[in-house]
Amino acid sequence: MDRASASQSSAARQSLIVGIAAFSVVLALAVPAFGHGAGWVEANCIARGSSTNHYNMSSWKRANAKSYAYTGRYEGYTWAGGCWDNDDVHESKNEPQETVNHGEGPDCSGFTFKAWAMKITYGATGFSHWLTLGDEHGPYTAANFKAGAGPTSVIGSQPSYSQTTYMDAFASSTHIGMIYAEGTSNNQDQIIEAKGEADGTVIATRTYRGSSSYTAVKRDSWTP
Amino acid sequence: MKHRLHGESADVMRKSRQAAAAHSGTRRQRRTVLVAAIVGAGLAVPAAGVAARLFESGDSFELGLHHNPPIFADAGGHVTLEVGGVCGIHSILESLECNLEGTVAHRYRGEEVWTHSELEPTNTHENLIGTMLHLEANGPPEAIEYYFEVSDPSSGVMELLPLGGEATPATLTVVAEPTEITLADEAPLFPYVPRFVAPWGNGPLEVGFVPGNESTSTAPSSFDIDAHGRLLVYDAANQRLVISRGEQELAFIHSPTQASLVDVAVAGNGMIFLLELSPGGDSTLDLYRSADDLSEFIHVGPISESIADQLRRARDGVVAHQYPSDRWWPVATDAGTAIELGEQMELSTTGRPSGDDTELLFKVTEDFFQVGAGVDTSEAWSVKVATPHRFGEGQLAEVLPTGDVGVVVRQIDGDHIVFRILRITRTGDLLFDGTVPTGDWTDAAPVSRFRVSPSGSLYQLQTTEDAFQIVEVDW
Repeated sequence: MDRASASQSSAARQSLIVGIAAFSVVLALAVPAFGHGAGWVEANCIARGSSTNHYNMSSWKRANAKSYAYTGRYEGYTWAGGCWDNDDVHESKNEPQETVNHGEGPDCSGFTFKAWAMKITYGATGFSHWLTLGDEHGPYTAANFKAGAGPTSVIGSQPSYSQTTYMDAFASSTHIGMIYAEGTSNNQDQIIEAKGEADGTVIATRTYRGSSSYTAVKRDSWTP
Repeated sequence: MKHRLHGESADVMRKSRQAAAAHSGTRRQRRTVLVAAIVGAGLAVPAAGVAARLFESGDSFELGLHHNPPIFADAGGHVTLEVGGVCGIHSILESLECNLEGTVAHRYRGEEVWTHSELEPTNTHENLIGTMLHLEANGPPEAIEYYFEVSDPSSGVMELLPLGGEATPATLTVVAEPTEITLADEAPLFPYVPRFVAPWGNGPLEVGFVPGNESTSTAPSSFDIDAHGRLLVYDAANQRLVISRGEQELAFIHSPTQASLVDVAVAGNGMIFLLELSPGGDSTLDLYRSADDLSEFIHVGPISESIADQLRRARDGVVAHQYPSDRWWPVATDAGTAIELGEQMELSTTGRPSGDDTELLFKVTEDFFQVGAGVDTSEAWSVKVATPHRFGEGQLAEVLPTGDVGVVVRQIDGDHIVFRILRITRTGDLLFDGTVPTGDWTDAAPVSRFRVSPSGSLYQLQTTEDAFQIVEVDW
């Protein structure tokens, strides 16, 4: 399922989510604990497309983005997903990809979209603060980010440390990770990224800076 | 994020739940009212109500510090020590940043008195604060120990870096007049011989590869060589360790970890260790060792660092490395016994312990790399190697059985990227200078693409579109 079809199916899914959520309230008294695995999003998240899963903001700093991204550390990963709690537990681990958007955690581009506080409309400038438990992926893929789509820009491939700073990102055609803490040498950085089903969302030492597969990109118009 | 019980040093976020209590009680009460209202509204909008309650429960004040250590300093010169931080309560938008202040304490190793220097903002946008130290060294080997004490006055949160403060300070090694070499513009592309080739796949003679789809690709994440010359490959996609026993003969040990980034190291007695380099779903990095009959892996314990990038053989077991703190932590003995978390911290060193009691220091910048002996050795030496190109990441620095030092570092010249391979003496004589292709078709073993066998042979992990291979470079 590509991003477009995922988006198209989201409306139908949202109707289902509302129904499931309403039903879950009825069950809540008898079954207070939420289960893991498929249905985690429905049980825990503000539905995708809801007006209550974000706030429009007049400013968003790199420091804001860094703090925000850190809430995702140790949480899950879901392809095309975008909702996580803050309990350091990787729920719905290793779920099959068919359950897309039903497990905890973002994917790499959804994580970047939310940490960079981007608007839901493709190409729109400005800032939206997304609740971590607000389920949203956004319209951008890793390849979009690599190309500098919307309010993002390309820095270049294999950049020097002076060309980048924290919360810039390295994007390939299939993956994007943000610079949590820059290194000073060795082409190494601490990257915060939604890494995959097995690992979830983590901070790890990576050498994307030295890889020809990756391009350094940045969000435009950070608040100083 | 939950507060971690065990030590995290340089570059790792630490959080202080207790600070939340010191934060505005009025604000907390106001939020409680707001949450109650939302939960009440949840009867009409159930999903939002549930989410708001969980969102509130995950609230915590966070302060994290990070620091890139200079490692080397020239005698009589100066060095800037800088620390950065990020803090805030993630669900309160207006407090997602902080204004750090604090001190750095330093002293020469062996002295009792600490000198405290105020830290000043060096980049307020990035929350960086630092100060410049002027060094006065009588001669190498000498070391300066230091630690940071940083606070955010508005929240009252204070943190030490490293976590143990003066009990486990960071180290800056002072060296005098390193022997300097400037590399030639070009070095020959050196031939290499494939020693292990396996097509991508999940079969008994294959090694796994799963392409990334809005995630990182999963490929072999590490390899090592034992004293018998056997190659061991961590096949992350198939969650197994592959052991090459000869041509077309492979053995497997099932891996107990689901983490896709795992390093492997063989201790001196043949015991095999696995270390998670990214936490497989929890907040710890766990270490495993092989059973005596190599039938399975047994959990040894967690390591004290929550970011690690390498596991290597050491004189008495295995050590883990954290970047960019550049500290090596002994994590298990040759017998497979775990070293307690507190001891890991106390025994950590900036240099890597190797087989001849040398603690090898290694630092790579874009313009040069520097290797040298640590301060606990009788012979101090340092060699600085400059490049007319640009260096990328340092892949390897090893004391070889001959006593020479082997170094592998990425070399970037525009679009032309190779690994530069060097053997140098401790007095700065260049014994070998060659290059090999990067062979990094996919993300694999980001900082573990090269290993030196116990006998001194150099191996490289390569990936191509069709296959995975390990080659030997005759250096």
